[in-house]
Formats: sequence, C-alpha cells, structure tokens
Amino acid sequence: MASAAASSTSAVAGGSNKGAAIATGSALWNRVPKANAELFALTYGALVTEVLRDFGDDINAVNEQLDKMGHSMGVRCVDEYLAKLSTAAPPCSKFLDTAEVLAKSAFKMFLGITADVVIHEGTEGKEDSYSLIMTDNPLAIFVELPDQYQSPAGEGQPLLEYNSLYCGLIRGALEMLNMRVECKFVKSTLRGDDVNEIKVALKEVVAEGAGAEYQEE
Amino acid sequence: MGVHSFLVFDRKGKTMFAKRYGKADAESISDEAQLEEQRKLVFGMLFSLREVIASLSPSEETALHTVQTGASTIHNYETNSGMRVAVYMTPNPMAPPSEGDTICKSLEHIYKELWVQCVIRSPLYRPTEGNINATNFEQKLDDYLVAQPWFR
Repeated sequence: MASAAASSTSAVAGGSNKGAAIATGSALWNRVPKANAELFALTYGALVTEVLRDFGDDINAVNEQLDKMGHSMGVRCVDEYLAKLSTAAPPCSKFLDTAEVLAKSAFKMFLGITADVVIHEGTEGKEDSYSLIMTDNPLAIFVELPDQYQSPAGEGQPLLEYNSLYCGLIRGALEMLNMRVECKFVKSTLRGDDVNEIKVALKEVVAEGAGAEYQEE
Repeated sequence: MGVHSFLVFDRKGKTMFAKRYGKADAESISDEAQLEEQRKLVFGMLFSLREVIASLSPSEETALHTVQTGASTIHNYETNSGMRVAVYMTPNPMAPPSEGDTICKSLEHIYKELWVQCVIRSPLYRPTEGNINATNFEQKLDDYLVAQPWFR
C-alpha cells in the first residue's frame, strides 16, 4: 500500500504547545497504517457523484448529506485518535487548544497533512473562532468542479461544497468533547481560491451531564 | 475472588456493555430492571466522584482510578470523549499493592486496542444505539481477560 501523499507544510514551532502538537502528529503519523491516497480521493469522488445522483438538483441536501457523513466519521475518529495517543495527558479541554491539536496532530495522523491556525478576534476579547488553513486537500487531488457547481447559477442558488466532509468531521469530533461548533468551508481551491480555509466557531460548551435516563422525575 | 463484572459506559451514562463474571448464584440481584438500576447507580457514582474531584483538586487532572471499599474495588478508566471502562472486583489478598496499576493499564489497553479496534471500527456500531453484540468485542474481551493473572 503506497503511503498517502504526505506533503508536510513547513511547521513553525513557536510556543511549547505547538511544538508538542507537531511532535505528536509526526509520531502518530508513523504509527498508523496507511492507505492509498489516490484510492481515498477517488472513492470520495465516486461517493459525491452518487449522492448527487440521489438528490438530483437539491444542492443543499447534497451538502447536508456529506456533512452528516462527516459527522458520523468524526464521532468515531475522536476515540481512534485518543486511543493512539501514547501519552495519558488530555490533549485539549478548552476550545482554542483544539485548534492546534486538530491542525497539527489530528490532521497529520489521519490525512498526512498539517494545517495552519488563524485565531479570530471575537467580540469583547473572547476568542471563540479560528480558521484552519490547508494548502493541499487530499480529498480533492483529481477533482475539477464543473461550471454549474463553480459559481451560483443565480441569486440565492446554493453552491456544492465538495469538502463538506471536513466540516462534518470537525463538528462530530468536537461534539464528543462537549463542544458544539459550527464549521464552514470558507475558501476552497476547487473554486479558484489559493488555499482551503475551514472556519470553526464555538456555539456553546455543552455541560457534561448525564443523559435523559438520569433526569429526576 | 477475582472479577465480578465489567462495564463500559458512554458519555451520557448509557451502559454500552456489561458482563458479569463469576458464580451466578453469588449474585443476589437477577432481575433485569434491578440490574439496570444498579448499573445506573455505578455510573452516577463515577460521574459524581469526578465532579467532586474537579472541584477539590488544585490541578487539571480529574481522572478517577480506583474506588476501594471493604468488600471490593472498582477500577475505572476514563477518556476525554467521556467513555468509562470499569471493572468491579474483589482483589486477591495476596496480590502485590501495585496490582491496581496493572489493572488500570489493562483497562487502558482494553479501551485502546480492543474497544477501538472492534467496536469503533465496526460498521455496525452506532454511538446512539450501542449494539455491541454485533461486533466481536465480547469475544476478544473474554480472550484478553482470561489471560490476565488478576482475573479469576
């Protein structure tokens, strides 16, 4: 099995947190079994084609379906990631910590790439959103979007978001860590931008509580 | 002596997996509803203890490892994603005091290797429904536990 296309971006190791995440990422990357990158990308492409065929013209439904798939993947990826960590220290409990861990450690482990983190200044000095910048996208290495999906046909027409999987993935993963977030794919190389950018915004920190079975009657 | 039961809870307190070992006639509760209540109580205890630790402890570490009573012990391994693996056992009085550590390491191994490999990766597993019987987790777990020296 060929190893996935691992184009490592130049990892700037500033601050101990970043350095630790990068080191963990590389260590994890060495430990996981690899699959063929082309197979992965082509399978995803075939999957998107199928979903498009199922839903026809309803682009919103297609995006939603891809997002849902990503979500169920993310829910499982968290446990996989935690299991592969050899150190017992909890990697992140606060929202901003997840940025570094996601970009350097988790993306490296699962996709073989690292991403850069840009933290947005929120209102009242509260920083509750960040962007992950990826220069290459292993899911879309052979993909060209046809014109009808590149730009909206008219006002208010939805765009096909090919990379909805990432959004769902991050959403699902962070949900397992008690954080409800909203993810959006802001910039995409498939649509002519120079980088891929995922914006992650924290909506609320779900209180750790027991489920419905434990509610007082 | 030995292990009485093995439990896996998820974030919300649902019992994902529960198995009783040892002699069945030694168990006083055999009714299904009561068993379910008992498991909920165990989860509630683990959960509440974790909250207490979080408020008492000066550091960030909130993991609960062991609860020891006169009769028996519960060993516990928690993850960031909220999964708890707990084993309820009566320790062998001849066991070395470091046995607790080996058991915790075993629980960690059970989570990392067996749970992730068998359950998370299984296409038949849904986090909300928790149908563990469709996977081979129980089989692998039994094989692993039988090989452990503290399991009898």
